[in-house]
Amino acid sequence: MNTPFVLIVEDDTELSEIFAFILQAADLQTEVVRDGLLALNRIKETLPDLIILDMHLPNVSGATILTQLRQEPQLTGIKVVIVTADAMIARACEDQADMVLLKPVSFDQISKLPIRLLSGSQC
Amino acid sequence: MSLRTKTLVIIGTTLFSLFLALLIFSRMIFLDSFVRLEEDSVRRNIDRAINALQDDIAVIHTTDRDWAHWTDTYNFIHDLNDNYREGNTHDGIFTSYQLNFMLFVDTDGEVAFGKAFDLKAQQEVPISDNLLDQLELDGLLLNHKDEAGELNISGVSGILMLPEGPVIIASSPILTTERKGPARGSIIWGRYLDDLEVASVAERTRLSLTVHRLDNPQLSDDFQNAGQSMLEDGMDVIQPLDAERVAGYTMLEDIYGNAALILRIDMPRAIYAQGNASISYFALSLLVIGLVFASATLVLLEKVVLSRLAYLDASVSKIRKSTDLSARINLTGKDELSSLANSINEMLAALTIAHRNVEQARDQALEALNLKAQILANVSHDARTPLNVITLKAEMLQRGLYGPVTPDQIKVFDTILINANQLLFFVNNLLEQAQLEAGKVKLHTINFAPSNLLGDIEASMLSLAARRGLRLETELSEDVPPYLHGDPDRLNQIVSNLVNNAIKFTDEGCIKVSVIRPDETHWGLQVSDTGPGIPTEAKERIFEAFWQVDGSHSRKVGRGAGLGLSIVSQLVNLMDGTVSVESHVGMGSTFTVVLPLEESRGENVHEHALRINS
Repeated sequence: MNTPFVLIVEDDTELSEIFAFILQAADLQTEVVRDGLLALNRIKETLPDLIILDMHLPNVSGATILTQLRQEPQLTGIKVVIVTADAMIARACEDQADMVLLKPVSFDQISKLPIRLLSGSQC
Repeated sequence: MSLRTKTLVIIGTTLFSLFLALLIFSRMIFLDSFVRLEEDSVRRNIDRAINALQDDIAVIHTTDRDWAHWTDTYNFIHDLNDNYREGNTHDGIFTSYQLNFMLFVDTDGEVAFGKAFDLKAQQEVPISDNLLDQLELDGLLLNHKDEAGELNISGVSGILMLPEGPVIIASSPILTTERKGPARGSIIWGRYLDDLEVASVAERTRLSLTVHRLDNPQLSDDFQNAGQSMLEDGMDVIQPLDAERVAGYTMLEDIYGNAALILRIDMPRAIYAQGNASISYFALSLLVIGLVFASATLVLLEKVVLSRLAYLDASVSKIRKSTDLSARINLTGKDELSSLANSINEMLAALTIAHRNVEQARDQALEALNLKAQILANVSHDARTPLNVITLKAEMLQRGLYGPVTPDQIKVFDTILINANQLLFFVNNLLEQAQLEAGKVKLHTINFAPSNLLGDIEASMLSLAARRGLRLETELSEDVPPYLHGDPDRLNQIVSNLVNNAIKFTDEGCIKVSVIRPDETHWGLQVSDTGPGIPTEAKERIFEAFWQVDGSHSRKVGRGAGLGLSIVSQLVNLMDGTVSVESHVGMGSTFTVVLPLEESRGENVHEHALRINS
């Protein structure tokens, strides 16, 4: 049984580290990417089980990443959770995402993500 | 009614009234004159008929008198000589004088000689006994003395009524040629006033004549009426027989002065007909002239006023419909209408400028509001990430992830989290208010479950309430449909604000959120608290932006900018709903939002709110 792998795409250093800390505490593998373009490459290379995706990112926006994810067949199975402070963008993208969380998020919301989204597929 | 129709009606009515008035007055004045002319004519003809009859009487009387004042006659009454009789009483004399009888009566009242003659049959007939009965010595026919007893040598003449018919009669005393007496009796001549006599008078006067006895029991109605009228006032009667003929009646008296005969002349109503014709021509010419003038007036009015007014009206309507303020009305001329057109053009120009100014001002205001909303959006976004770091770190510390914590420290972390959340709420509301002002808030209606709405509120507000030591309860009324159509995000925002407000102002007790159904066509959301309540005078103002209850409690709580209830009110208005508050100081408050019920069948239900912040 593989440990689920979560790619955290978030440009805020502190927040991305907190997300990684909480998820690691829940026995998940994590990697943090702070740039949109880099994130696209890493998604294709690592094929994560779950992506925590911010919308406002350098170079390539979260919305663009989400659209590409949903267009490429080998990537469509990846669960995507949007974590953003921008409610309008969140609403615009909600149909493509598996879950939308509006900042600020709570400890429990992050820690319970694997149970909510990954229990059926991986565990 | 169009101006054209009105003008037509006014001119038509005026013309018709004028025509009618003139016609009535002309008939009254002119026709009356013609009737009087006709009456004069009838009267003159009556006179002519009477004169003709009197001429006949006079002729008989004159001849009778000539014969009476003749010595031969004077001798004949004495000796009745054959010579005189053969020479002067033969049939030829009757024919040439048109006599029916000739009586020589002596002083004893005896008829010395008499002869009657039928003029139609041209033969001698017996003398009428009725005539003989009239011969009395004291009677008018034989007694020629006046009241003073003097002899009236000229005798009498007139009409004598006999049972067989009226008679023109003359009687003169018999004297010598030198008119010497004593009188030897009377000579009486007479002629029946019969059809022949009437026809003779009619022929001479060229009149249509009828004579009837007054005592004739078979008189026609017109004779009877005229006779009655003349007996009453003694005036001749003139009256139309029909539209074509008019009749005049006069009474003829007999030699005794008694009303005896009614003479009627009837004649065509030529004068009256002429009058009628004249009035008809007058009316016709009046009508033609009136129509010509009315047509000319209408044509001129149409050309000078009506068509231009219609053009003006059409132009203004066209501009109103097109809302094209750059359009202009082109009306030539130098009068009030062209002046009005110019004024409208000037007004349009002024409106264009004013409109442009208003648009510019509106654009500027909108731009400013958009800018404000954008700035606030950026501020909000930029504030959320660091705020999230604060709350997450605080939670991690509180959970002991960075080492053991004491109960006092846990309370400190609660305070940090509560305040961070309130700060977040404030930032959210500031952004929302700016977006509402800029008109950027649009409802995104979908099918949703009210139970999910309550669940979302519980999930997002429970920890905050708990940290303030308050209970948060939810209740879903049974008569609320399982699925509704609306904007769950905005509804969530409304309830969150009301609950947040309640949490802020309540020190202990419970906050209750209910979904209710006040009536058949509405559903609603109710948030009640056990807080300090709202003073009556403040209830009207709490929904205004940036306004807060100015009391010791609000100062003690000291959070927020007074935006929450204003946003609630604006969002509820967007949804065509109402928001109200029931509150008494010290008794808590209940906010009720009532919205139009749009029930849905639960298809395509978005668990939207559940996924955000769940």
